[in-house]
Parts: sequence; structure tokens; C-alpha cells
Amino acid sequence: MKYLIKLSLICSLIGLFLIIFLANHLEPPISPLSEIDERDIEEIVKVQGEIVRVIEHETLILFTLEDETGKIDCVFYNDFPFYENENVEVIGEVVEYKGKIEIEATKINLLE
Amino acid sequence: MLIELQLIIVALLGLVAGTITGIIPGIHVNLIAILLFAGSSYFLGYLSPIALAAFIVAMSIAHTFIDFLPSIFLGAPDEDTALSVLPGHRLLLKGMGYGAIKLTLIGSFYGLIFALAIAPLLLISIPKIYPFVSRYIAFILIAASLFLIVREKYKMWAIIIFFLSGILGIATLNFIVIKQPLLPLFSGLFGTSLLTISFIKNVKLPEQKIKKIKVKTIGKIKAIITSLFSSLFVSFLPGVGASQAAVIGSSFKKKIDEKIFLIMVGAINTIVMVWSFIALYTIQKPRTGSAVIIGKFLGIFTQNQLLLLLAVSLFVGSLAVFQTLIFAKIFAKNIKRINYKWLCFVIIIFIVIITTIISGPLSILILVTGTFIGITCSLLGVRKMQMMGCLLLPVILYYLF
Repeated sequence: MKYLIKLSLICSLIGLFLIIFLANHLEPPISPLSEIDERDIEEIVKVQGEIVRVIEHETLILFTLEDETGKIDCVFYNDFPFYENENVEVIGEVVEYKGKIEIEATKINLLE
Repeated sequence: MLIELQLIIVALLGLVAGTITGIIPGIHVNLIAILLFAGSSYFLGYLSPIALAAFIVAMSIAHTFIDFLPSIFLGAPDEDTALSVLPGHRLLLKGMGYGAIKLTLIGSFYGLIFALAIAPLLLISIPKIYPFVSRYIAFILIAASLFLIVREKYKMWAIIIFFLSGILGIATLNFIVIKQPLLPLFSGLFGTSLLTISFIKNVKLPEQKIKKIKVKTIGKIKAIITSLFSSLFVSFLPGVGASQAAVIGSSFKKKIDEKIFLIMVGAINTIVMVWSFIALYTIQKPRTGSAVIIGKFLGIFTQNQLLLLLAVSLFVGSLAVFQTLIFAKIFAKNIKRINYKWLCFVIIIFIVIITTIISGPLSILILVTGTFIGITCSLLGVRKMQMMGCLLLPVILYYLF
């Protein structure tokens, strides 16, 4: 019994360390905005670009991201300390809203 | 007349969809709602937004009634029924699986009735109370967590399990390449861990009796009232759901009877879903996946539309009671014919396949780690409730920092 407890505890800890390591190191590759389409719906993507428009609503922020290949609308549900003309990296899920493709951002980092 | 007929038809279709999502482990209403939204441009060509919203409401309510079936009979819960697994499983091993389901149905149905009865009061009071209460949710959850740990026989192990689960929860929710991360998280902690133990122990299910479990009326009333109070916190605050409400509700009494607990979990599951639609209307904040999608379909909706959705809830909930009892009888009559050990094995494989398809291959790591934590919890004699740290800890940290 004690052996089983030790074994399951050790396996739990190994699993936890692996998950923490992978969670901090694994991210999707950067995709050009023009390549994001209906086939990517429900996929997690990473994009980079300049914020060209920001619209604040009560419960969310809508912003438009632009790179050399195109533009895409993004939505973010948390605090948004970014401004127009700043370059950011956005990680989020591709969704369809009223017939349009957009990214539901979960993580936004400022690019230098 | 046409719109009314359309609404009745979508409500019945929602009942069927909710039955499917409720019975099959690993399939959640959120998944169907997301798929529906993804195809919204197609569906809106045939149905109005309110009809689509009514479908989601019907599916969600039906799901809250029937999802205890796989949780109790198969040991395969989702995040909202996770805490019902152990008391439900104990009753299943005594041949009272059908009675356990009936207890959750008592909770779900009376929870629905009282949730709707109190709705007018909430419509007036919530916009006033919400800003005040939301500031203290972290402290409420810390207090509830500490209280539950203090009541454990092995307090140090309870703390370890709470934090192990909590760290797993934080790591999982930050694992951005994993889709639907709660699926492998809860399946591992509460599902495959129990199934693995049943497989190893070669659990044999006794003959299941098709009869109700007697609970005193006063006990049922207390369970429903406790459920209403604890659901109040989670229905209108972000990051907390039915499972946390069950944790908070069960902390009001030192020792809670497992039958009362099942009524409570059943009630909370349904109340939280109903009140999430009210939260969407009053404070424009969706608190369940279904409410998120309804918000996207309807935007800011009118009181008449809310009343319509609540009427659909009552209509479908009433039908779901009878439907769930029929399925519960089928499960109870046939489960003994099945070799439970190998049924556990098949369900584990099914969960692994579903998790891989929905969340991706990397999610198996979360599933396996959760399984080992769940096994450790069981072997140490710590109550499975402590593994709700997987959501409690991330929520507490979110609100504190």
C-alpha cells in the first residue's frame, strides 16, 4: 500500500513537472494573418502585428491587428494595456463571428 | 403560431441533444454550443437567433439532469458532476444506483423550480449586490478551502492533494496549445482515477434495485435551500462553477449525508445553469459556456426573451425528469450483465480517445497526471473534494492578484 502511494505520488510529481515545463515552452508557430481562415476555426494560433484600431466595450476589447500580409479582428476579455500603433504578439483561438473570422485572444505580449 | 411551433420543436431537439451530451462521457454542452456558433451563419438562414438560443438553453438544462448517469453508473463525470462520483459510486456499490440518480433528479427539478421562483428577486437585486460581493470572492473561497481541509482526518495529506491539484489546474489552464483543457483535467482527477481503481480492485457491481432512497422532507428542503445560497455566489461571479458551489454548500455543515449531498449537487448543477442566463441579462456577464454562446447569438437581449428562455428551461426540465428515470432504469437493469471491470477499461479507452480528439495528443499528459493525483487521493483516504483545488487555486490567485 505504502509502495503504491509512493509510486502514484512520484508519478504525479513527474507529470506535473513535465506539464509545467511544456506549458512554458510550447507555443504554436507564428502564422501570417493572411493564412488564418475557416480551416483554422477552433485552432490555437500565434500572430504578430501592429494594432491599427482599438474599440472598448463594457465587457471586452475589440482590436484590429495588421501585418505585411493582411488584417484580422481580435477580441480580448481582460485588461488591455496596449494602444494603436504598438506591435504585439497575440495567442488565441480562431473563431467565426457573424460570418467573419477573428481571434479570441488569450495572451498578448508587447513586442519590442 | 409559427414562431411558437418553431420554439417547441427546437426545445425538443435541445432535449435530445442534451440527452446525448449528458449520457456520453467527455461530450459537454459547451462543445455542441461552440460548434453551433461556428456554423451560425448557416443555421441563422433557417432559424432566428432566439430559436438558436432556446435550443442551447434546452440542451444545457437537459444535460444538467442526465449527466449524473455516466457520473454515477460509469464513474465518468464532467466538471459539474465530479463531486457526485464518490457518494454516487458508494450507493452504486450497495445496489442503489437508480436511487442515487433519483436523488440528483429531486435536486435538479426542485432546484429548477426554486431558481425560477426567485428569478424576479434576482433581476432586481443582483445589479446592486454584484459589485460589492465580487470584491470578496477570493476570501470566501480561501475560507471555504481552509474549512474543508481542517475537517479532514489527514490534514497534511489534504493540503498536499489540494496544492497538487491546484498546481495541475494552474499549469493546465496556462497550457495554451491544449483545447478544452478542463476535459482532460477533470476526466483524469475524477474519472479515470476512479475507473482505474475499480479496474484494479476488480469491482463487481451488485444487483441494482429499482427503488427510491428515502430522505426526510426536511433534509430535501435543507439541501435545496443550501444549494440556492451557494449557487448565488457562483452564478454571478466568474471563474467558479457548480463544483465550487457544492464545495461551499457542503461547508455549512460539519458532516453532510451522502444522499443530501447528491440532492445538493443535482440542484446546484441546474440552478447555476439557469441563473447564468439571468447573469447574462442583468450584468451582461456570461458565467457558463452556454451563456457565452447565447450572448453571442442574442447580444443584449430583452426581458421578454429572457422570460422565453426561462419558460423553455421549465418545459425541458419537466420532460428531462421522466426521460432520465427511463434511462436510469435501463442502466440499472443492464449494468450487472456487463463485466464492470472491463466496462471500466472500455470507458478509460473511450475517455482517452475523446480527450485526444477534442484536446489534442498532449492533453493525455494532463489526463495521466490527473489520474495519478486522483489515485493518490483515494489511497491516502483524503476526500475527493480536495481535488477541486484544481479550479479553486487558480480562481483564488486570479482574484488576489
